[in-house]
Amino acid sequence: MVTDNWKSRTRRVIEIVAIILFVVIGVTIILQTTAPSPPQGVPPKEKLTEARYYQKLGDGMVQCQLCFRKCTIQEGARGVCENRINIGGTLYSLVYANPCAIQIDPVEKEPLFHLLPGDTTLCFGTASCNQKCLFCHNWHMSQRTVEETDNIALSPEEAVTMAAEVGCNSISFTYNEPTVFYEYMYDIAKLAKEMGLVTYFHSNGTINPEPLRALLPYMDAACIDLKAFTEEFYLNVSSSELEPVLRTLKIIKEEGVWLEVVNLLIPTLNDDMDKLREMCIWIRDNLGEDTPLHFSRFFPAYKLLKLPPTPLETLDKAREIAQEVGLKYVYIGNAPGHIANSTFCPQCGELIIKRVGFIVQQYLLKEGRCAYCGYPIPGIWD
Amino acid sequence: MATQSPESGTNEPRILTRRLIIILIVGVVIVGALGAAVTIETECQHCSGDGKIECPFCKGIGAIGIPFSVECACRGEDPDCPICGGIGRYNTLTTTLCDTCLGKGCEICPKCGGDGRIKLIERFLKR
Repeated sequence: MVTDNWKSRTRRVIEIVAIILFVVIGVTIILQTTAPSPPQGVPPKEKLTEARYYQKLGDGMVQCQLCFRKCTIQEGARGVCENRINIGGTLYSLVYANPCAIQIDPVEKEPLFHLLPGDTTLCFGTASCNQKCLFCHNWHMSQRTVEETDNIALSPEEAVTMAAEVGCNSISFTYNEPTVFYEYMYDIAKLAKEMGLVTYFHSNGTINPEPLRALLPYMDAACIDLKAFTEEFYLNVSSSELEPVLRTLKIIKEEGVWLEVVNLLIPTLNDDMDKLREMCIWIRDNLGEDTPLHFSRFFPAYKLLKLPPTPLETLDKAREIAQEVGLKYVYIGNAPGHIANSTFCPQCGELIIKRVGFIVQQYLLKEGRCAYCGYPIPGIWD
Repeated sequence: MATQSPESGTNEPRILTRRLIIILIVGVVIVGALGAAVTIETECQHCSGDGKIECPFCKGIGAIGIPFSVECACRGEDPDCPICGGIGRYNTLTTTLCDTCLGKGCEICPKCGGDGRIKLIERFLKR
């Protein structure tokens, strides 16, 4: 009787232990297989910097106010630029202190021909862009997300220190559209100005007025792409709009920041000479005849491989039209060795800055004036 | 009729208990191992957990270079031209998306299907 009781008690204990063991193992397995994993490539929220210029719309939705697109972004989603993410109703920048390109370039490469000729600049760029240009030459950065590029952790303080260490007098924000790393650009530019460095940016001009006006006090110069003078081109080739670019150009001029305009001439897409004349007249009337205009030669790239390089005749014709309209400083870029790489005095016609490609071979300006006739040449020379 | 000794009577439950415990432990180990093999995932060794492998065509760059010839700005009129040497044309290179990986520089790992993780049982079976 005693033995039977002992046996049944032992069996019960064993059964309970077995059940507990199975439950523990089962729960462990379930937890392991169902644990949520964070999205790949996205840094933890604590490491992200909150974006500037956006509105909270309620229900976790936000609206970015940085560029012309004004993306409405659901929780967990990103804007068109792929660089701004909505986490829990707050918009964060994914590229702050996270550039994928840091390089020392000649200022002429920008192209800026009326700013510190022959100087070198420390250039920064990140992943992604708010435009989708079919001809992009920097597509390996601009048309990729932050997860698809190799990035370097570099704070604004470190960026400015780096410029001083490598002997650059200026810092540039370029390669991709700097609007998509606005917060990073703003903080670097502010620090750079405190350290007496020259700052400038190369943009597609689609930033909204408010953030642009906030940025310009910390910028010495801007190089803006005016890719064409038709909405059709902007829509079909760049997935963008013309009007915001014209607005940006006017604001930069109003704010007194040195401005140069770049037009990439692409065969058959934006090389209509009547439209080019309209564009030059608009530049003369709204930005002034002293505004340098660069006609840049197209080379096949990215998704526009079937078009040939821009013929030299087209570039020459465009330059002639711009000069006929009254623009004083018209250059031809991406055509090394072309005479229009150089600067000529509008008054006496003498060659005052001789360039071959990005190299300055001759500099005949004295205190910003033509060394031959004393005519003042606008720009930032010292 | 043989009489059972008091010692053997007291040992029987102990032996039974031991057998039961051993069976239970072995059972738990077998079931646990099978369960783990079926459900537990580990890092894919083929892609080191990335879920993707380097594109074999562009070697991970995502781009391919296409050479082409272009007319020099000197138009062949300057025999000392530093760009073309007086020939009037020069060769340069453009880049475009790699056709194989569509510019990504990588392909989805064929072993784990892009998850970066693989179930133990699959690994054993593939071995």
